[in-house]
Amino acid sequence: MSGSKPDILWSPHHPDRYVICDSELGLYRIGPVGSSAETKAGTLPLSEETAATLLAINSDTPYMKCVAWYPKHEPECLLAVGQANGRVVLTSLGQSHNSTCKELVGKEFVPKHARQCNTLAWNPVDSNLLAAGLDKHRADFSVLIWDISSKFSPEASVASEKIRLSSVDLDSSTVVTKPLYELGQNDACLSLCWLLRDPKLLLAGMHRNLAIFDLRNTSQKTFVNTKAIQGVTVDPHFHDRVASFFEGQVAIWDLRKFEKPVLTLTEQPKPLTKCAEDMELKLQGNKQSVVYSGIKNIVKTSSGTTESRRCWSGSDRQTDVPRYLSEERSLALRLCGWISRGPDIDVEIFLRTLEQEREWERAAAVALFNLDIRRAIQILNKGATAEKGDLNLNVVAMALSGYTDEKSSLWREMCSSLRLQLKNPYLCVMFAFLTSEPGTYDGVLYESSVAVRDRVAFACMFLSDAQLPRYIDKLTNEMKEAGNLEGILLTGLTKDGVDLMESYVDRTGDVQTASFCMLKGSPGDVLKDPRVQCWIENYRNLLDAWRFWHKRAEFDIHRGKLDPSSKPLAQVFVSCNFCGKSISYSCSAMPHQGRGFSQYGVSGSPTKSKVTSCPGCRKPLPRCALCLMNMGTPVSNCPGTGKSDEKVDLTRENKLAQFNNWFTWCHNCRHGGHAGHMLSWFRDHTECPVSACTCKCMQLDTTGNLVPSDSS
Amino acid sequence: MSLPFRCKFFSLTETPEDYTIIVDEEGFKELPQSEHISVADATWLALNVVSGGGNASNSQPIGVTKIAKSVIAPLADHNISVFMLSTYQTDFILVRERDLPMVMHTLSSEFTLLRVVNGETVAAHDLGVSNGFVKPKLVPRPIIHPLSSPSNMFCVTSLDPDTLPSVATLLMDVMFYSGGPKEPAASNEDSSHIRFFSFSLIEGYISLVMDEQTTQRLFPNNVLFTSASGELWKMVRIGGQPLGF
Repeated sequence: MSGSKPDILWSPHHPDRYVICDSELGLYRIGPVGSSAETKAGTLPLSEETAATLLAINSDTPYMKCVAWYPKHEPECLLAVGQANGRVVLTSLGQSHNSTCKELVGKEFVPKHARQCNTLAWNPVDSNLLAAGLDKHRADFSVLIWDISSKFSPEASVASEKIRLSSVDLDSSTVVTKPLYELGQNDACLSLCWLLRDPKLLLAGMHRNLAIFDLRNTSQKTFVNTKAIQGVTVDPHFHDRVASFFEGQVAIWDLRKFEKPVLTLTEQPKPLTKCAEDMELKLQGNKQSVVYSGIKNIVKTSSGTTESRRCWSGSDRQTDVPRYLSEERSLALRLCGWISRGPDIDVEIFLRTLEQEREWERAAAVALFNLDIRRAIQILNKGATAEKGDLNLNVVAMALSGYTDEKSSLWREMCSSLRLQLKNPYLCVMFAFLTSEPGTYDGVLYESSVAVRDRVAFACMFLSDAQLPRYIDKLTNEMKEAGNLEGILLTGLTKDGVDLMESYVDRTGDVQTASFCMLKGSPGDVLKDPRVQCWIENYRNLLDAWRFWHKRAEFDIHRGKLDPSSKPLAQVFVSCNFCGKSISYSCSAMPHQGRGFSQYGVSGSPTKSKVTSCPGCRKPLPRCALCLMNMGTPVSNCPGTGKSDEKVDLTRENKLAQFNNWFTWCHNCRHGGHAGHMLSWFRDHTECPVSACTCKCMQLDTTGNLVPSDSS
Repeated sequence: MSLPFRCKFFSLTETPEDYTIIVDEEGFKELPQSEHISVADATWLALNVVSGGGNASNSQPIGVTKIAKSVIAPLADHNISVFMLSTYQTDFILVRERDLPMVMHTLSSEFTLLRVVNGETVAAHDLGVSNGFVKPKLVPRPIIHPLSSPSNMFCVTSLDPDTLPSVATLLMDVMFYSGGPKEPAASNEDSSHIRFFSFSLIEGYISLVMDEQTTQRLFPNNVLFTSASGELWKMVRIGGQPLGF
């Protein structure tokens, strides 16, 4: 019946439930999708992993336009519905055993003149108050605040007018016609939100302005003309921050400075919500720069592979498995972590590490791939007898020890088929290796539960020069498609790697990993890739938005070290009032690199002489407004000389002390002084310390009152 | 309800004498050229009184009574004609475009003047003319037009735009096809009963003015917005000579 969009909202009591308000009310619960075979009736698939189940329907109320959920826990099934004729009806969805609920359900709040109800908002603190926003009427108010506990009383209604209600309505307790407050006229009310910082204040999106009504004084209202009047909502973490929208634009407001929006956003790109740990850095480990090119490139340039047929360790019996060796393959094995230095393929150290970490099956497989069956059996036995070990490993060891290279043996036949029933993938591939024809190792290579590095190492050992690049290519594409960061091993930090990272970021939004990884790709063309720049900027913005300013500054420093081109040139200078020259003039004739011109106010360590006058004209530098000492430039801290190694590497304590001495000033009144003095002054005062200056310096900076989330 | 055309202001009123259409420039382009349509000589601008703009004492809705006193009377003192259009939602005061400087000058002492530009409300710039205006003469205002009052009672009502399609044929029937023996009274010359129907669609809001019998006879329950008090209106016709200055 309704041509407009349905209303949808989350339950305030159950994080997995929501209600859709259309021609009827439907309560849904979100849960994981059941097994693919079954699709229960009433289940709506929402994504690959989640589906919504319909829990309850309420079609009692017609002409519904908007809905609001009762904020308190009891009764939790209570909803208010706004109708096309302006009536607000209380109804329930789901179980209602509570007696207060029964009293309230069915109550109707009827305005004097019928017009559409656009929005409803329950007061979060005084839950008897329900605000309704209606379309305009020439003789009526657009914002009505109902008290849901009030009863119909004919005396209280509009004087001398008979209320014409149907006989059903005349049951006196269920219809209320007199609102507690009536606010706002001449404009329709399109959205409402109670202010969290003061539950007597109501923010309303009227047709052409945002208005704040105060229930304590209904004749006054604060308002600001704007187009962004829909969907007003208060930031639950930041009670002074409010958002509203109109068409494609979102406006963010600061309630303390309400005249203009603080920020306007248009077509915001995909929001970043996740910040996963950068586990993949381990892959980088301690590689040298040439290694960053990835195994894919390494194996392409093969300086010559020798094929060898090694013996099984501990026996003279030769395998019919050819092994391939070359410098590049050894390098690749190193990257995979199987071997450390040296041309010898010695995996013993790796095996011991795996044993220590109780990765028995994996260690056994690696040992086996190195043609050391006894070692593999030994490892499996250890695993079986270890604390909380798996006794079945002994059985596996037994099976292993029966190895025979007889192609038509029962052992081979059984192992080849039964291995698929082994739960652990490494055990599975062990038997695949032993029962495969040489050169046809798909059973090992495409076992996706085996770590990528192990499969690649295996390939580097057993695939010929013709087969190896093809496999690496295929695997790389698989990784790129899935956005699996294990593939960095293959792509390295090259353009390929950026493609892989892009796929990963598309999937996860994890710009933290992307930024840190790519920064290590010091070849300039990787860093110059616009995608990489985009991830870095997004990460920085994310840290800023979460008020992790110190972390972001540390990241900038880290980035500046790895990519000097990212440091912006200084754009402003402190110049002397008298001669107009930069006061760091003595340090260099050219503009200096690096941020932070305020460091030039530092009074340096006691051993260096302090310069308290302009280097250009010798006139004195300004004085601190509080301690009346001249500011000064230490001769030592001038990066402009270009000899950055000479820079004093200040320890953390020194740095903190130094900041207190930094010169800072208000951009409005131009007064200032030592940072430490200014900070402590403004803790107790609002006005500038200079007499006769009434500037409220600290309050001009809206972010000045924000506390960083990471106090270092 | 999305309109396929850009007309944002439309009003059609049927009276015994004629049909009056008030339409904005976009809507005017849609109207066909015809000898049956006579167009007024001027373009008109719509004014709307908004209360509560910082004025603390305004907590009551502004009604026509207040508007008459504070807007129409001062304008009349300056010989400025107005055209009033009242709807279910609000009251519009239309003034001729050429009168705008005088209107602004007259009203700026009592009111803050605002313009709506691209949906944003901005301060209206004073057109800068402050010299050469005649000081208002405070003369007594005699009633010079005859007044008459038909017997039928009227409803000022509205409806949910989403339900418009379902009543469109009804409306058209009432507006255009119900000349004839529908009323129990034999002829329309019976002065106690008047044919009057007004339909407005202004910025997406619908307003209807029709007599009570029509509402009850023709419209199904629950479609029309009515006041909870069921209030009805009595009409006073200002007749005689042409109105305005």
